[in-house]
Amino acid sequence: MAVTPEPNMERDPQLAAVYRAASGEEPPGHLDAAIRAAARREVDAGPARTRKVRFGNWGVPLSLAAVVVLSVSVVLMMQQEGADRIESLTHPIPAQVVPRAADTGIGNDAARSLAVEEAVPQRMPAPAPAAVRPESAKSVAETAPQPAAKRRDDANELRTLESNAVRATTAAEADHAQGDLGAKRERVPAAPALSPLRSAPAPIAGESAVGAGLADPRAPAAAMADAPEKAALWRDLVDAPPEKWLQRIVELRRAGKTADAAAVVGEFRRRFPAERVPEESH
Amino acid sequence: MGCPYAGASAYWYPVMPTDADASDEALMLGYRDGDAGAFDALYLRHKGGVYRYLLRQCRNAALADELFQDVWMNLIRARAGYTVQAKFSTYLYRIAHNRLMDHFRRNNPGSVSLDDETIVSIDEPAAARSFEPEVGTDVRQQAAHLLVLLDALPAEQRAAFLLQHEGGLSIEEIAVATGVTRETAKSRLRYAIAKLRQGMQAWQ
Repeated sequence: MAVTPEPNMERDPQLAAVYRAASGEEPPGHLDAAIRAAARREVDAGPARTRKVRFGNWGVPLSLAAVVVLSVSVVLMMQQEGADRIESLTHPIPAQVVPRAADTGIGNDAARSLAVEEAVPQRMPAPAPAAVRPESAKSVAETAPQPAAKRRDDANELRTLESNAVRATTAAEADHAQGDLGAKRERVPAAPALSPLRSAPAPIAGESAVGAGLADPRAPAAAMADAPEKAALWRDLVDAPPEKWLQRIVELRRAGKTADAAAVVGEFRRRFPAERVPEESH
Repeated sequence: MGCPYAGASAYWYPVMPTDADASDEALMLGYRDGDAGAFDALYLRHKGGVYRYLLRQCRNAALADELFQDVWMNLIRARAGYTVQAKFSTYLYRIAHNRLMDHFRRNNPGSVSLDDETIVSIDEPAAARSFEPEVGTDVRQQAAHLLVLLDALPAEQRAAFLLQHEGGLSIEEIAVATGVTRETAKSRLRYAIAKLRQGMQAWQ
């Protein structure tokens, strides 16, 4: 019959007394010696607490120092890499543009500067394309510096204005056009002296020349110096009145010398912007 | 006290006068801090009880020697990290109990664990009477019979009895040393005493 033990049966003095009489076993002597010797060896090996503390004292500081060194190195490397990248973006290499200017044969500084200018990305927004109106052309002329393509457009526009001025039927319209042309010439000194009046395809083919002409304020004199034979056509008309100039133009046209006539017309218009040039009659 | 050591070693290790009066915890702290004599005092106090505990449980002298040496070596190696969190005897017998469990698990994986709670039926009349040794009976014969009865107890009940009588542990300390609750330790001890008492009464 299963019964739960009575309470307070955790101790029995009589049993304890009997058990004490039965408990005489002891460990053998060799075990005593071995154990006590091992205990002394452990003590003689050094204070375990000190050895542990020594390692514990230096382990954390060394780890922190290593982390700090690595972090600083990584940050410095990232900063240097970022600086190099920014520098490469702000200073692009324009070297490939220089040979173009040399190949064209134009060795003046203006050509090279223009070539460099063409290579540099134009950060300024390009001005609106000028319409075939004197007012818009004037505003375009006033905007400087301009890329070569834009100056080419200006030259073409000038040529268009000139042709319109020649075909004008009324004196007031012609005077207005000539006045606009003259005003335009004043603001664009370089281009009229060069490419628009030499020949039709010249302005596009000789882009660098046009650009060089626009960039160089000495272009009219330079053009004259470059064409001494042209200057000879009106050398004797330097002090002549406009009528003499017109007579020479007519004579050259009748002689079939249209190029010479055009050169004289250009010089006539430069000297006498208010005068009207008769139409070509061929 | 004089020289407490009489072994094969050539060294003579004096025992400090205060070692005999020092508590187990103080001696262990002294050994932790480098006092080998404190360990000697501790060893002398508890070597017999630990040895008999292991001997009664494994029932093999050679095995008991091996386990006994392992227990003290574990204590020596753990000296640097020793802190007073419980009685030293509780700490020592917990090492002994764990070493014993490791042996049982390694050698008899399917054996019943000492931590298992088993309810054993007890004859009420025998349990109600306290054990009174018969006058004239050889104490040694009674002791021998008690050991036979002790050997017949379940392992966990035997462990509870031995921890109380060899280690001087309380029920709470027995619970900590064996890794069970207080009620479990109490139940095991009560059943062990009741059975031993019943067996002794029946033998007389």
